Amino acid sequence: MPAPRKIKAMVMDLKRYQDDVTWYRLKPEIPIHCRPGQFLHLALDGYDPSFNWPESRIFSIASSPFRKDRLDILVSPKGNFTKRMISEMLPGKEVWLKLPYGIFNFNDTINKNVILIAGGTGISPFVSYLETLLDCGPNYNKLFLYYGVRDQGLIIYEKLIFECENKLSNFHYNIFVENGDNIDGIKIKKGSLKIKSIIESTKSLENPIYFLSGPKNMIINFNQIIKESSISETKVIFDSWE
Amino acid sequence: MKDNEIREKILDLVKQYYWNKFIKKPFDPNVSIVHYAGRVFDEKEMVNLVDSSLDFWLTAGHHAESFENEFANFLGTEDSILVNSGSSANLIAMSTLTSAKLLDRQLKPGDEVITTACGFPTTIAPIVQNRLIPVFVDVDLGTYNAIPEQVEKAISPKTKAIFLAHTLGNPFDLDVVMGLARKHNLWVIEDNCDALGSKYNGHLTGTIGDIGTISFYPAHHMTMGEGGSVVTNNEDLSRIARSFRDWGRDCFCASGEDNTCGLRFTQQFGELPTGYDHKFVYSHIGYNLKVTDMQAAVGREQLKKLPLFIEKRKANFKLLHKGLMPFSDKLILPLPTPKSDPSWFGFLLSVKDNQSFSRNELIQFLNNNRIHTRNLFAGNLLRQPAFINIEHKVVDNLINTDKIMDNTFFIGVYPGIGEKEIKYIIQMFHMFFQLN
Repeated sequence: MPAPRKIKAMVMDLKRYQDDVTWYRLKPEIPIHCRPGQFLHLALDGYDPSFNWPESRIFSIASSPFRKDRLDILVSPKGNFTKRMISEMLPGKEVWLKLPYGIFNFNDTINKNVILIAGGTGISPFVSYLETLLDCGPNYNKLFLYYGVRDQGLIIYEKLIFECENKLSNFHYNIFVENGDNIDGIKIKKGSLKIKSIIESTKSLENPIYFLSGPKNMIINFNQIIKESSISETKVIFDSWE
Repeated sequence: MKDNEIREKILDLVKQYYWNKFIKKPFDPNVSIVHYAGRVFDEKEMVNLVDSSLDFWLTAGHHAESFENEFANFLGTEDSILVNSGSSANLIAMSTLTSAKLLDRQLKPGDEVITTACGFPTTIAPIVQNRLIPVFVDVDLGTYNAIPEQVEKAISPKTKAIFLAHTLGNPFDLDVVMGLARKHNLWVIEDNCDALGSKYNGHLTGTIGDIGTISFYPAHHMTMGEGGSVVTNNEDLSRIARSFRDWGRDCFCASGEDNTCGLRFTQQFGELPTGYDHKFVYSHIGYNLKVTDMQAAVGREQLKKLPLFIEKRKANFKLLHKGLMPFSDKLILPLPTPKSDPSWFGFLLSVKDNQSFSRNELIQFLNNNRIHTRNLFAGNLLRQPAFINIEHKVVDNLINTDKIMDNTFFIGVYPGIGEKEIKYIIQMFHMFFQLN
């Protein structure tokens, strides 16, 4: 595990989506060594080493560790802190980060059939993994992405998915939108992520490994269904926070 | 004055203080002492020290975090875990391998660890403290490292690890040791406390085995007073080592921080209720072996100087080797291990058999002429009062280890020694041998 550190970073770019869900690109003051799947803490207030680390929130890193000049994150405003982020984090704003953390990783994917299941902004750690595959080449047997969002306006990574479809071998995706139609170049299905049907359609795969990332309720619900299925718990990895 | 202005003024005064107090006097053969080792520093270390004290964070803080990253970058390892001494680093390294998290590779009481008896006690102490059995092999005279054939001979069904020091900077035969480790599924701990900057086959020692340990005691290649490091490329070992360092806790929050993992109140461990505060969950019988941030602040400046320190040590060694070559009929001169490029801790010499003088006569003569020497630490550890009765095994015998106890010593090559001191040392050897 690379030793965590506290660094400054500057907001370089942002893109707003529906409901103020926001994609940020941060420029770290020094290159950071991390792994796909790891997370960072972000603090809006200054950090003085003479005092405690200020209030911060956790975000999965949504960029490849090999793209050293950037750290991307996705923010869905839910509480006071994230609402502050949305209003204060404009290009040029300096923030403090501590990173990298987390044992959610993709170390065990070599020659396996990898199934990524993401709900909403839970796609972030998978973005880091997919970008890493684009940077370094595939190490899996087959790769499936199941990505579910509430509205079409919340599909964040259509360009990345399109690029993966073109550049990554044996990459398959299914995007589910509860309310929406089609986006140019991307196939989407109307409806929500259904873990039972994902299990059904992947059960014949040899040597599968499942990665789940999304809202807490989705994880609890999916976890329960997986436990009731024939899938071994050792083949399911969750990215869950409080 | 504002607080930052006061701070700047204090730091300016610290610089002045350094120049008044610590500026080195030129070498005078009639009065100067040639130490075997010592701290080498300038005003930057003192400024960093005082600056960090003004943070008044006291325990490990941002300097410690930065040092861990900078040191890992220097070595090219995934992680470096800063601890309060090289001995603590050895204790953490050995204890890490006893973690139940390692499943079938966990070391359990009674398992055997191959090592040597010729060196510093705290390479062996953690083996004993963890109720493991040290299996001692003899060493070569000249390299002072484990004899590779004996390491192979020491392997039994109970062997689980090899824990060897790179003696005074000279790497042990890593080709053989790593080959045996792979073949027999053994862990390798490199006690690199005296060998920071040494290379074997082009790779820095301490980074080749599963875990490496480094010391930052003042006599060592760089210093922060009390300090050491555990380095590894293995993510699991890294987490376990941090746990042992930090009271044995499962949580990895830094001092003064909460809920870094984001799972503080949702997990279940042992027989604790679900959601028991992760901050107070203990996975290991651990220690508290952290440094203060002031130490780490000094270490950060020393690390910048380390490449120069290493080169100076090598250069001093070379000069001494050339100057003492005429006495190679009486003394065993140090011999670098094949494929190695040692960053020497000291210049080891052994009095050959059947000489007209003893080791103690020679070192007394040097000492009377203000040239400091040291024995190769504990000599044969099994002859030391604390170790006489430990449970252990010996492969064949420790004849050379006993010879080292009786006949070996070292002189300094540290960067505080200049060419004038080296010439003086050589001159004193000439004088001794003219008299003997």
